[in-house]
Amino acid sequence: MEYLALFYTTHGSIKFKKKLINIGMEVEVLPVPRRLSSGCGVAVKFFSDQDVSSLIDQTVEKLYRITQSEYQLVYGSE
Amino acid sequence: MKRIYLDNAATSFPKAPGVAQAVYDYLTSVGSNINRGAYQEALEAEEVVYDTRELLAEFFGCSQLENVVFTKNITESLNLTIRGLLKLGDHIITTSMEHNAVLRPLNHLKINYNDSLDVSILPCDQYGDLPRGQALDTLLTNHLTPRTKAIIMTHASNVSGTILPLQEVSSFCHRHNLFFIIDTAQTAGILDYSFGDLKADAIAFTGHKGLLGPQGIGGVVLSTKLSSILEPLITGGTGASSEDDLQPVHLPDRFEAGTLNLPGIYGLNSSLNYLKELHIKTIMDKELSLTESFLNGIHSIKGVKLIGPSSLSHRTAVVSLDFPNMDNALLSHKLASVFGITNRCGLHCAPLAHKTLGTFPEGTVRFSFSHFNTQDDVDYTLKAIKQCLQEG
Repeated sequence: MEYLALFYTTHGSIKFKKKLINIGMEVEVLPVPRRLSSGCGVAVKFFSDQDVSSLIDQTVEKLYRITQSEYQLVYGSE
Repeated sequence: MKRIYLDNAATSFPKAPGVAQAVYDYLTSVGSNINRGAYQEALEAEEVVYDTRELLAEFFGCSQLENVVFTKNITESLNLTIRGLLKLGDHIITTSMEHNAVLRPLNHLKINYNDSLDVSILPCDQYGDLPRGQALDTLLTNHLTPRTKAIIMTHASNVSGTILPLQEVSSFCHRHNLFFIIDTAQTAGILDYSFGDLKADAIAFTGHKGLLGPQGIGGVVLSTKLSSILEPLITGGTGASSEDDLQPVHLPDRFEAGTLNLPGIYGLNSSLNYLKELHIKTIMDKELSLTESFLNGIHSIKGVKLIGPSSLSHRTAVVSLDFPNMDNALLSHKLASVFGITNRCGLHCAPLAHKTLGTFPEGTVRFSFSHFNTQDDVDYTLKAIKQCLQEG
């Protein structure tokens, strides 16, 4: 599954990105899509076929699952 | 003319190898802001800022990277902490060896609060030191009131090099639930010291002295307890939470409004890596060895008075001298203009410290070594001082 994480701060996005890279995941950093809103303008996209709840930490404001170009909120609130 | 730089307490020179190149590389090859874009150069700069926070967190023993906040220098860090913490009616304890970077913000806040801020100043002895053990505990207890909020103090004097007992004061703060704020201007990168053991609430630092980075970059490492109640000193854009009318609550953005000094952070990153590789103990041993040699030489010269501790265990490589038979300013000028020895005379922005040491208002002539200095520099300086005194 493809996921998009949004953050409170840019520092948080870098911290999250490093964490995922350190556990061998591939990530892509991109601007937050305009249809979503977030504290920080940088988002991190990643793929995972496992339960992602353990990846969520204090840096994450929202987490979306991306399905057919739709964003389904799985953590945080709109 | 030969140039021997002995004013490292003011700002270090030379800087760590690689610092100038790192600043240059940022300006010529990166150039992007952070927190404001997701393109490659911006992300690279963000990585370096993150990495620098990581190096600082490791250096100061802090587990939360976001609690490392960048400022332009330690004066701003101390202002942020003092002005952000103290409210009307509070009481704070400090020492008589503080720099104006601590005393002036306290004095101005006192005026702003129409005197409704109490500042107790712990009297240090003629060597600029505080007592130890029970005597220190009694002294602190005598100044404690129900309104005491914090103790703020320097780690080492910028005038006499005297090292103050931070660990004991820290324990007192924890026993009495006080915030503990320290000024590491003269010790970070200089003393081999485990700052993390102090569990201080604010460790204020500057990048351009012992950390061997460029001017214009400093910071403060905050405890979560203090950061949660601290008001920001300045507010403005952070590149994040832009829809919010107020400063965001999340660190580090809460205390970092406006564009950061990115060339400075690149330079500091380079110098921190240098320090990490070299080890602070190597630096401290070298500086104290030069200081010991200088003090031994000074003791054999008539007409020179050492101000501050002679024991190496209680001091840094900052040495203040008084010349009773000569005008300190004229001697200082002669050393600089005739011999090329960069030194600093006067009050060193610490008038209260000079009053404590008995050298107010005439001040002292200060020599401050770095590990880049050599034994030849020490020998040359001793010879020059002797010659100045002989010539009168």
